[in-house]
Amino acid sequence: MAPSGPVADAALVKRARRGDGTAFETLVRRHYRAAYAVALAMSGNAMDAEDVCQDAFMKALSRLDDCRHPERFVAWLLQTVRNRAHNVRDYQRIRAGVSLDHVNVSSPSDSARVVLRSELRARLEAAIAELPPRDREVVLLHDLEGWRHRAIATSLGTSEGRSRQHLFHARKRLRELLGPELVQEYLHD
Amino acid sequence: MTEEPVDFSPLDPTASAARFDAIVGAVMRQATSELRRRRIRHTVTGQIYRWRRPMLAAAAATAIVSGAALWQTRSQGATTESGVAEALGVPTQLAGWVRDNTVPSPEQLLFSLPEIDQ
Repeated sequence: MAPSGPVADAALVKRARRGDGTAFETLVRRHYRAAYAVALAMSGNAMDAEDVCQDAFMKALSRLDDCRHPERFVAWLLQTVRNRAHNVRDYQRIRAGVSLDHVNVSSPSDSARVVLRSELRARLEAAIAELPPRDREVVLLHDLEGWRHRAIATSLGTSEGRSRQHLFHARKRLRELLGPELVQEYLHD
Repeated sequence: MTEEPVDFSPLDPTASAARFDAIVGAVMRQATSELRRRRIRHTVTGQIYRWRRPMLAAAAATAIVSGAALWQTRSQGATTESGVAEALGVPTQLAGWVRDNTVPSPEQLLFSLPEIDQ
């Protein structure tokens, strides 16, 4: 599970319940990537994943008083993400306004890097979409967000052993789909 | 099972600080009205306003119980003409709201508190 940081999640949740914007923003920044990992696993593409995350954080804020265990806010948040991801087609697209392809492009070499990363991103998304949903969620929570199997197992309601199996199968399949040359590109990026 | 982790950094939404700030900014803009609503709810006036119905319900229950007791007293020969609420010490203002079935404003509740304490 992600570390709670200097101010624990429980304290931040209680402050956010009283309308403390700084507390809520800290929760968003702290847990956005985990929420994104689950949203991406369930929706299969990055744009929908961002919309799902935004919607889930709004839903979580409106229902914050229903979070009975504030110290386990992230597990409750991720369940909200899963629920919202099921309705991904009903979401409105509220774009942040800055697309990954146009960030900090200041030179031809930077443009090439951005294009390369966009291609890698597209291939990763396509490969992830080939995985079963549970494998997707485990590999993203583990390799993208850095969660350990115990936390993943708790979040998914399964055992650590099953979590390890899902991770093993997911990585094996991704390597088959992406190929060793793509893995080498990552290493030299 | 000692496979190397897959590098998902191209998919990491926090990899670009500018982009991530924009994402968080969009979330916070959408959260503005809900956060404001919560702040209002937790002011003193907001707290009192939230308790208006339970307070009136309690006053109504008191009036009913008191009324029953007063009726019983009268039927045993009491001669006082005072109203149910006044006779049993329920504040006049509160009894009036119950009788008229009106919901007082937070300010009215606040000003009636000294009367309730008596």
